[in-house]
Amino acid sequence: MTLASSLKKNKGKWNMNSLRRLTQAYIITPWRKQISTGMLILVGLLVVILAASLYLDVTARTLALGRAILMMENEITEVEMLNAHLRTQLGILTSSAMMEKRALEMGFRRIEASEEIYLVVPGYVPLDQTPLSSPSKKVQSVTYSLPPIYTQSLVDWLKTKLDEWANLERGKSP
Amino acid sequence: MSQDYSSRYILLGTLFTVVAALIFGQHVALLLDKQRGAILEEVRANHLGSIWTIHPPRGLIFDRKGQLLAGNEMVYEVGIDYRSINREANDAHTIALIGNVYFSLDYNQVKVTIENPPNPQQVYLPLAKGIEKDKVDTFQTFLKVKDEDSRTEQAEKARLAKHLRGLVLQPYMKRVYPEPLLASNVLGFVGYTQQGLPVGYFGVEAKYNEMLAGTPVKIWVPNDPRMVQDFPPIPEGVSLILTIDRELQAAIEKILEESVHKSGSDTGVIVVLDPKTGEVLAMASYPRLDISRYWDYESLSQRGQFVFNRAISAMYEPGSVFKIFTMAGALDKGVVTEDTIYLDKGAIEVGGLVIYNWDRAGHGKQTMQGCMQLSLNVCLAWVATQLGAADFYAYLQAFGIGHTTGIDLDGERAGILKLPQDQLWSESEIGTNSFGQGVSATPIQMAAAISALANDGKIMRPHVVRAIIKDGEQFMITPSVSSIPISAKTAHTLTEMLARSLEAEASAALVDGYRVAGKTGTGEIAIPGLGYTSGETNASFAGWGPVDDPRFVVYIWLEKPSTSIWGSEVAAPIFPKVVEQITLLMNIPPDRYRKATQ
Repeated sequence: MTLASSLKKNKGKWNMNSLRRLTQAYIITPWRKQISTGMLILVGLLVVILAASLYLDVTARTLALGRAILMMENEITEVEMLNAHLRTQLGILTSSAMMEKRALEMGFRRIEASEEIYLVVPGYVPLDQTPLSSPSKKVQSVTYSLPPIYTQSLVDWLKTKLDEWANLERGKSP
Repeated sequence: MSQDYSSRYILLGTLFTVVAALIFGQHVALLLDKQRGAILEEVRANHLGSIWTIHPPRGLIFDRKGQLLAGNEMVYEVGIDYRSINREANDAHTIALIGNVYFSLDYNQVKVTIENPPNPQQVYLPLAKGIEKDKVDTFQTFLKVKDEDSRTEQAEKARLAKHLRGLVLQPYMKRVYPEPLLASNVLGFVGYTQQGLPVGYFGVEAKYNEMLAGTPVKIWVPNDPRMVQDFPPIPEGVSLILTIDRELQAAIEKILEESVHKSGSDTGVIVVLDPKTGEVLAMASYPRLDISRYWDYESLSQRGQFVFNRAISAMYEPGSVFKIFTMAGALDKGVVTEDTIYLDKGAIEVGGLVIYNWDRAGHGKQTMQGCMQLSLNVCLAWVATQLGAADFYAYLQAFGIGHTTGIDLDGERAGILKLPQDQLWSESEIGTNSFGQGVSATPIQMAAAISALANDGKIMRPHVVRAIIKDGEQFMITPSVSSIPISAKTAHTLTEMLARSLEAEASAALVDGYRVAGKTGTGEIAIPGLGYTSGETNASFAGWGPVDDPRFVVYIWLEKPSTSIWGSEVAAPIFPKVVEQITLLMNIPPDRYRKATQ
């Protein structure tokens, strides 16, 4: 007997029997149970996909950054080499022979001792040092440039956070 | 279950048991292997990453005014990465062609090398080193796809790049000298070990090799990019500021080369020292090596005669310049004064050996100044005998004869000075040694010893490094006293005597505007077994000035001059030329200006 025929038989009046039947009908409907289970599985899958995507995204970005660091290190090395190269090129361009050649081309000539003129400046003391280095250029101490979060896996990160939480619980600072 | 099936099960079971037993046995064998730990660690390390050894750029070398004398240049190593070679696509041809056109490599050789690797496991093979940056830049510009390129050109470049994936261009730093002949004897050069590591040879490059090279840093580079860290700072090699003045060095080298050719000498040396600090202002040695072609050294040295830096490594009998030390010792000891009279008869017997003057003549009564002015061997031999062997050799040793000066250059030699306690020494040595025969010294030893007269009797340790730059900070080298052989009074007295000597004989060594002191020397060259019969000489001159406040000591040596054998005729005339350059370039005004400011 269907719910409609039950209501028709009782002339549209509800009784406990019809309500039980109604509840039972909904509870035990197989397709609803299947949908419910399916949805639960889907939600679970979604959570897994979300976590996996997040993990993949963080890992991919970490990998890309790691790769970029390596490339930049190589670039720094090459730029340093280039600087040294250019400095030497400058040394070659200002070498004694080159400077003399350029001076001669510009119409200068080396003076004789007899042509030298000295001007006496009382109290003048010529500088007798060659400061070539910048004052107190200390080597900087370099540590990680990336915070740990970029180098940790999601599991490591969760573990760290849990440890921090556990330490906080024990009254310690993280 | 039938009987047939049970036998099959037994067979299968036995098989599995045997395999399991073998695997277990192998595990046990591995566990018992003593090298297991190291091997596993190596496998683990190789899997996780690799260790890169980074060599810091070699320190630079500057002259005293900050001009670069030795730097580093970026060059490339061209190599083959066999893993990226596609044999079917004929990559070998393309790489060989590019190698030939852009890097001047032999086409056939490169092609054969690519097609036939030395061994099947070969991953990488260097083809050429030291390829100039300009060549690589030209090649990379050619290969770069530009906006103005047509589609065909772009496609062609892309196709070419695909074939060139196996071509590796690896940059590295190479030592380079802006002027490879300038001060080459002081600088030395950088060669490479079989492992390709740079090593300094001769000069400051060798003496300060470890400082210049810096400390290589080993960095562990993980394969997992997540574990990549910043490279730690790699401290550069220490840079050096030399005492050498580039302009003065160039001028002195030019003077020396001209003088050697003009006098028909075999070799020559000029050393310029600051007597107050021991700083070497210039050190010229002829012939010299073009250090950009340092590999020529081997063939040059095999031919004989070639000494990399004659100023510190070539020993010779200096002749009469040595009389300075004999007279200095005698004056200092009080055995003679400048007014002591000696009757020169032209010969004297010392230890059974008759000694004559250079002209074989007697010069009658002479003061000590006269003896020095006329460079009388007989007189100086007498002075040495008056001083006595013990004191004479004590003074020579105090002047540093027979010892290295400790100059900070690689390859210094000590010279030879026989002492009375030596078996080979005979009493006649005191006579011959008094005028610089039978004793050998290097030019730097002579210059350093003579600097005592120009520095109140003190010898400063000669040095060529004025300051070092480490971690961006500059540290000046403090001059140190090496020895005090004579008193300031003796130094002043002898300087005055030698200044008057030059003036009295109107020497070719006199310098306009500056009062200088000096002494010529002509040392005979002995032939082993035959004695002094070659007729060839070493011509020398030692001079310093200005007399009232010495700022420079100049030592000149010409080996086997052919136009004249006398130091007074070939070496002395070089002195004013050198002093002219020193005073011009080191800002030493003539005496009249200088005294006006005092």
